[in-house]
Amino acid sequence: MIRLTGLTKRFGSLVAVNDLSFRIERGDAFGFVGPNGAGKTTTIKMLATLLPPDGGGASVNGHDIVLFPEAVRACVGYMPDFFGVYDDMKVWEYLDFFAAAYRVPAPKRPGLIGDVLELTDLGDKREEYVDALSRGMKQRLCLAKTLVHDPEVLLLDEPASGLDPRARIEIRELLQELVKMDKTILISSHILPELSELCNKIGIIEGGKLVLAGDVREIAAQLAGGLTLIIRTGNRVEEACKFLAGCPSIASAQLGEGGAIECVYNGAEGQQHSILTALVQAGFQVQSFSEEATNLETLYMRLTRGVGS
Amino acid sequence: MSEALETGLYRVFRFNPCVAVHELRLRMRGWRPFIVLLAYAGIACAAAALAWIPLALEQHRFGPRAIEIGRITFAVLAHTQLTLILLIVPAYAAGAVTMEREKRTLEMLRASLVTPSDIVSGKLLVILAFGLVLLITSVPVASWCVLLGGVAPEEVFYVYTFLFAVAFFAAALGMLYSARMRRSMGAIVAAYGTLIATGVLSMLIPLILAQLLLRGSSSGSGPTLGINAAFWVVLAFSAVAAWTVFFVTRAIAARLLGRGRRWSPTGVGLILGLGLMLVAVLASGPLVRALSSLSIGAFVILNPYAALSALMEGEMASMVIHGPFGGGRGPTGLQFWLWAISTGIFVLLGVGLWGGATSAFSRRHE
Repeated sequence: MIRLTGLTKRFGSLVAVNDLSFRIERGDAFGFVGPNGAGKTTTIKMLATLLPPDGGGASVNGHDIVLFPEAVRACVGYMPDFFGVYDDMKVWEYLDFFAAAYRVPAPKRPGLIGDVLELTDLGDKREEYVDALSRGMKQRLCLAKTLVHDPEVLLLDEPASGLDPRARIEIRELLQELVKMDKTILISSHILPELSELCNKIGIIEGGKLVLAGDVREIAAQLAGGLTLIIRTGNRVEEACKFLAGCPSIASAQLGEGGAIECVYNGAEGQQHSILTALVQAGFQVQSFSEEATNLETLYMRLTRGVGS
Repeated sequence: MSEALETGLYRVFRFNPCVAVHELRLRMRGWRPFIVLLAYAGIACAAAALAWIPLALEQHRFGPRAIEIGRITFAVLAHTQLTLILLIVPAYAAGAVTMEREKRTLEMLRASLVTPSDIVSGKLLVILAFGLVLLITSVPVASWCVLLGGVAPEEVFYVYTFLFAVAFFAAALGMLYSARMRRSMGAIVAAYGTLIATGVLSMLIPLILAQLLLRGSSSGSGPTLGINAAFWVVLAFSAVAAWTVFFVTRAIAARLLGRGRRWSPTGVGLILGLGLMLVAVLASGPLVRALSSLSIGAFVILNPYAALSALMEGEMASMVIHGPFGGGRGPTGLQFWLWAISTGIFVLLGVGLWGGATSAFSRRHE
């Protein structure tokens, strides 16, 4: 559905996107993760045909983004990270304008607008002025605009940035609906736990280069190499940390927030209790001992640490 | 009805009117257009009234001079409107695209299926429609001038169409800067600056040419151009016409040829534009001979104020185009030719700037 082969973009001497290659299949929800300035927005803008690439190529739904930009635009819904709204314009007029911009025939527009307003839970705001809506509602309206021509592919650049927790949850639920509707979605975000709930694939980018791309579970299984253990001791915390680091089944141990010791366990599965036994036998007062499954955030922190900086 | 119009416009011209409809909604809504219209009509009426009252009092004292009263009142009304149009229209046009950039609404529009031509033309058409509405608000005052006497209905038509052509030129100029520049303030300053520079240069050029080409007067109406200068004038205007043809042809070719074409639209536009220029230069003999006896003062028609004054004054018109066009035809014939030439020049320049604005928008964003 979306294919990138060696996609490159330069701004003067800065290489914003460097030889990026990955594939997203139909129905995939692809989380595009990376720190600020990593090249996520530039990549999305190139896929939306707003920026011409300087090298390599990409296609969306089989259409080359350089040769057939109109065909790409027809099948893509693009939501930018920052966007403005028009003053003195009602919600339905805003959607009608974008439906007309995508050449949706006039007789079909009222029905489509009603549908996307229902989907984004803005049905009762139809006659409201756009500039009077709250930030979260504007974000949902922008998503409604992105859906108004029923695109097969959605390019969503930080759709939940700057929203309060309630609005973020609403957007996340809405995106989960879109995943169920079998849309192909490329979504960039900094809120990693939300991506891990939405996406079946991820791509991690840093310094314009793709660090890793693939199925979330497969990558987690390959890279985690064990579990993260969170241990709290009532006494001799630093000594306990050193003791753990010396254990053969512990890959690394470090002091975390609030005096908790975070250590990566790479021993045999189901034998974590041996660590607890060793700690108790060494005279440490263990207050808590828990496991933390490797999530997207942990994965991201491990993979992007120091790369490209 | 609107559906049929929308479909028809797209099928025939490949023009998606959604930006025009959207602009129409935004521009005509709220209190701002009402205030602008009210201020425009108020200032035009006040200027006409201020011209008419002393003349009417003078008439009361010294006897009937109704013909002059009507003409002078109409001249003041026309010049006031020209000033208002040149103040309002460039500012509206210069902010049309830059405002979208500043508000960050342009990106989503560009990601849709609208073309640079849809955006620039849609916005320009709505600004022109607003300019037309402004002009129409003063028509009752112009009608009153006709009733006062001394102004023919054809003259009202000439003046209003000329003002509309100047509005088109000013809107296209503002749109060009709006398409090229990042900020509205910069685009507005550049548009006004260009208008002022054009106005000053168009007055200076005849003076400089008069010094350079002075070779005695023809029929007592000032120095004439001569063959060499007339050739360069034809060359310059055929270049402007070629530029216009290039943009229009390229836009049409781009839409008709579609993707995967054998011919580049730019190449087609270039061939036709240069071809036209070549034909114009080769066939320019009679035109050069006719223009050679044209008064140097003809250059002032590039200045809208001078052109409007000449259009309304038979004597000035005679001074400007006494030679090739108006000789022996009387003031009405002169006015017609002056109207045709000056309006045509502003329309031609407007079309060229319109094409330039579309091209500048495309270059900036694609």
